[in-house]
Amino acid sequence: MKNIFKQRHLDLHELDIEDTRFRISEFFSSDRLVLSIKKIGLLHPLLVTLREGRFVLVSGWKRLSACLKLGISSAPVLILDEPDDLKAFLFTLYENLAGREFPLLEKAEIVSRLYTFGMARSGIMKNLLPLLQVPPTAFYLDSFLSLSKLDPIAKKAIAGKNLPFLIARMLVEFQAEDLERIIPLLLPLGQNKQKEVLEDLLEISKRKNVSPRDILETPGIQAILQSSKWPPVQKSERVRLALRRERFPHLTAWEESFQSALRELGWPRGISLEPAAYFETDDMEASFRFRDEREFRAHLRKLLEVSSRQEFQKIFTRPRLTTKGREKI
Amino acid sequence: MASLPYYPDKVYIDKKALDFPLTERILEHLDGLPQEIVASPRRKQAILEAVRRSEDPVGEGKRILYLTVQRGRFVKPCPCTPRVIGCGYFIINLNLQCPLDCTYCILQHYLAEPWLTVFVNLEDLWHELDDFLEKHNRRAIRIGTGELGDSLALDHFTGLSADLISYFRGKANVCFELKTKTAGIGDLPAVQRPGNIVVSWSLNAGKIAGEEERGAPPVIERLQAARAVVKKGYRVGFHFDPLVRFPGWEREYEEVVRKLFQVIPASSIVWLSLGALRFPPALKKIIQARFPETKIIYDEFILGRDGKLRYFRPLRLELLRSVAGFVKKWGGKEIPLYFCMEGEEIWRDGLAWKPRGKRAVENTLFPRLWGQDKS
Repeated sequence: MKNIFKQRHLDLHELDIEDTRFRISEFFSSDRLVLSIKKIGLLHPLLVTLREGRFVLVSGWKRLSACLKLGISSAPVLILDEPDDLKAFLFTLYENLAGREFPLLEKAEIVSRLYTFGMARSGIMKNLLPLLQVPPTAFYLDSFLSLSKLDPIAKKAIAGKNLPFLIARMLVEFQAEDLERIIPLLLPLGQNKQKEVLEDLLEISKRKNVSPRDILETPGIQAILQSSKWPPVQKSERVRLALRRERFPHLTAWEESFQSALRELGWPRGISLEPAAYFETDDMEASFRFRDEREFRAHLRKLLEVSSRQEFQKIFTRPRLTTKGREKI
Repeated sequence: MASLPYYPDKVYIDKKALDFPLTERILEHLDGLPQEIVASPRRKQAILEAVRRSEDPVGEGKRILYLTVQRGRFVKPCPCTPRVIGCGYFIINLNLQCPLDCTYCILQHYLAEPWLTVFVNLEDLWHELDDFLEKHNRRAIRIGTGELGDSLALDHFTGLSADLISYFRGKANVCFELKTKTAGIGDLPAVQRPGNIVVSWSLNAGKIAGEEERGAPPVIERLQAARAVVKKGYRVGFHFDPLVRFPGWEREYEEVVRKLFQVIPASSIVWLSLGALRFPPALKKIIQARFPETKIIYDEFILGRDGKLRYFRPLRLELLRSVAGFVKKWGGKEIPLYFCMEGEEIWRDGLAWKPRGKRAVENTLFPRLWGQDKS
């Protein structure tokens, strides 16, 4: 790789900071770097190159941000004499590779830049994805390319909450207008529930041919979101349950009917009764813990007593299908 | 408009498959198409990688025919699915993959190699079948080629159906089934009387056949082909699988069942199977990528005990019971019906019968075939 570096002090106003072609980090805090530069100065020069007579930053966006915050007007730079964008970008990539792990969105930006600068898909897959600790497949390549195009609101959430690839990849399926409504709903939830909400929204949206934002605009969900009774986490939880009911209307009807039968019967505490997963079979499982013969007999007595009641039959009764349920598809 | 028979864009011939008569026969029929002898495993791997790198590896694979030698066993028990009542079926893996492109097709996910494979070492097949049938000479065997590929979709250049019929005809304890979605019956030889060869069709509601079974002829063409086959002396079977829920499914499925019995005499039908749409979660992702317009995968599916996504039980039961009811209404109660890949609760509630294992299912399917109905 032929290259010539020249070192000099550059007036930062000479930098075209609007030109972000080489930028990979967007969401970061420069507070610690500000402190460091304040105390000991900028030890590592910024890497810049010339494009159409203007200086463009190749590497050092965090350092630049810290300098600007400190009101520093000039800084040491290395000028890279490399007219090819791809080759210039590889400098910043290899420089960063040595020193740190890339967060998800930076990996996405790297993949996107490589692709934009003309590197072949097969080359990115074979040579670069492994360096980023990403499996070298078309799926991951396309996923990271899509992540780089995500709406800023989603990017901010991914970076701020350190959302994993699985959730971030799901956000790609939504439009910016949907994400504005979805992101605030997601953030209070744990990752499993985030995944569930996103899946349910996508499934309902495809099934009913409506947009996710239209689903979130329905009166039932709006009543939850606009209520002043609950904090954000409870609102998100209630919306999650409402979406699940919408996606699985018959299953949730069976689950609710089963729970209601247990409540009506006064099912004894300390003994669990579980239907087969998704009611796939008629099997049920009753279980309890005991420490001695006395506890064991006490549980058996409770079971005998509860099973002798007339309401016990309701445990084996399931709601019938409704036409309404069918028409929802 | 009649559906055009399938031809590949290119034929690859495994070097080891060169000297077989079936290879010669197929290449004669495909003379004029680009052909390449695959001389090494490395070359095969390169072809495979090129297909896998394409935008649509499944679709790309369908453009390739690969002639090779079966090194493993041809005959296997139908894999069915765990924790359901099976039907004791055996499959012959003579060709793999299918040129049709149905949205729901499990082969998009199931097979390691994306192209259409034909195994050409027929002599090995006959020997293996001789041994297999000898070993099972005390039980009734239902066996067929339509599990990992369509039995007739390549028949216009392989001619395999005639070979298979010739082998199985007259074998007393065996029923051989050719299963298809096509109307390509031209190469089936006429038979003297209904015997142990069954030609069967996969049927579906018109909407599903039209929107989700790309490359397959309309249902009416399949039924006309079935009628022609009955006239040639065969008995026929039908598989409503997968049954799919959609707005208006009851009306449409009743319509296709009614049409079936208008065209085909019930007495010619040896069995009819019903199966509700089911698929592994991994297939869902493939379907989403390949058929973004489809809606059939967005219904109320749960993860079944076999790890496949299935309609929530009451929805599945309603679908299966309704179509079973249409069959009884329009075709009478004597046609043997069975469910594909369902557990005992669905059998009990859908057909008012809880078979004690797959042998019990097998036994219901045979008497009619041999003309030994209880009546």
